[in-house]
Amino acid sequence: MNNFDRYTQENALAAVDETLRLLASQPAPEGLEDRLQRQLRLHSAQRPGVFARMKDELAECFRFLSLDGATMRAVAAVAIAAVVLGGGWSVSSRVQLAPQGSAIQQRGGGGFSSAGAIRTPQNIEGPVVVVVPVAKMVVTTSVLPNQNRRGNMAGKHKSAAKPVAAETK
Amino acid sequence: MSCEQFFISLRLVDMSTSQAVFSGWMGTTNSALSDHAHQHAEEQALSALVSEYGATLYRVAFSVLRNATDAEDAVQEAFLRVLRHRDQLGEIRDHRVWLIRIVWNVVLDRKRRAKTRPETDDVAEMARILPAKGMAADERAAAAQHHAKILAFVEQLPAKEREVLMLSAFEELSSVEIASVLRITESSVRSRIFRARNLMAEMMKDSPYRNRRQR
Repeated sequence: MNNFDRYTQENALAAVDETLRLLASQPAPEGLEDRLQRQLRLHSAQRPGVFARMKDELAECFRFLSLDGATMRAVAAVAIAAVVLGGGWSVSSRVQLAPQGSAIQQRGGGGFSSAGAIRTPQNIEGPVVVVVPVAKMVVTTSVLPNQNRRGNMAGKHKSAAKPVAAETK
Repeated sequence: MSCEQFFISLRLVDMSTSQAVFSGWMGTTNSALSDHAHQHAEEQALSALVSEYGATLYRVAFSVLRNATDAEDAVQEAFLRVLRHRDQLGEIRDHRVWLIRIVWNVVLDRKRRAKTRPETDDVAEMARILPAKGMAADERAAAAQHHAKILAFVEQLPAKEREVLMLSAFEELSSVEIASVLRITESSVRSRIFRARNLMAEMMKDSPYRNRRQR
């Protein structure tokens, strides 16, 4: 806040004070006291009757009727809300909820029976896996006709007596 | 005899009446005399109240209603309420604050019932109550308009802040007494005054008033 604003604000508040003090310091008009005393004597002389007292009491009781608009609206809104909530509560307190249904299995309770039949789903035939033969390595030892028990060749050519190392089937 | 002395005598009469009721052996004559004395004391007390606080109540009423006739009517109505409840007079401790509270309620009731006061009425009333000396006619008219404008701003304040601000203008009312009149705490009075002044300054910031005051 700069000085200009502060100066303005102070001036404004001083003006408000000045105006309100001017109103508050108004002297009472001439003869006010006499008029008030006269009025009081007049009303004091006539004692209020029973009905007048009752009227006063009622007026005191219903003073809320002279409330301003906003307050009256608020009171009315609260009253409406109370009526609605009260009505809802009274209805809900009277209604009894139905007992929750429990699933009970009935055995042999009549009707049709399955006669022990078991339903088997008709599945589609699945794919047939073809087994591919796997090649095997077989090691055999062949004995030549002209080989003796010791494995020595009886003939002259040793190289002819060599066994076949492996045979692939 | 001062107002306080009247109330002391009223309490004494109250005591004698209650003694009469409790003792039970007093005759009808004594009871009638006591009633008469009690009534007389009440009237005296009321009269003392009017003499002592009538002008104060008028000023309180005028500051809100801003009309001399309405303010006088309000004061009369307040004293009639006191008359109706005169039995309680002996129990009241601070009569000034109690009376101001009564007239304050009367005034607010009247103001609620009345329509919104036009600013022109305020201008006329302010021109009437402005001090006559040292002002030319045009200055007087301008000052009246200026005060009426400020009062229009005051009327725009929220009710709580407005009430406290108006009561704070009465020099004879302390913040404790204002709190008692409005039935709130003293700290609430202070905070409401602070808020009211801030709001007033905010509202008047952009008004033509600013130019007028700075000239």
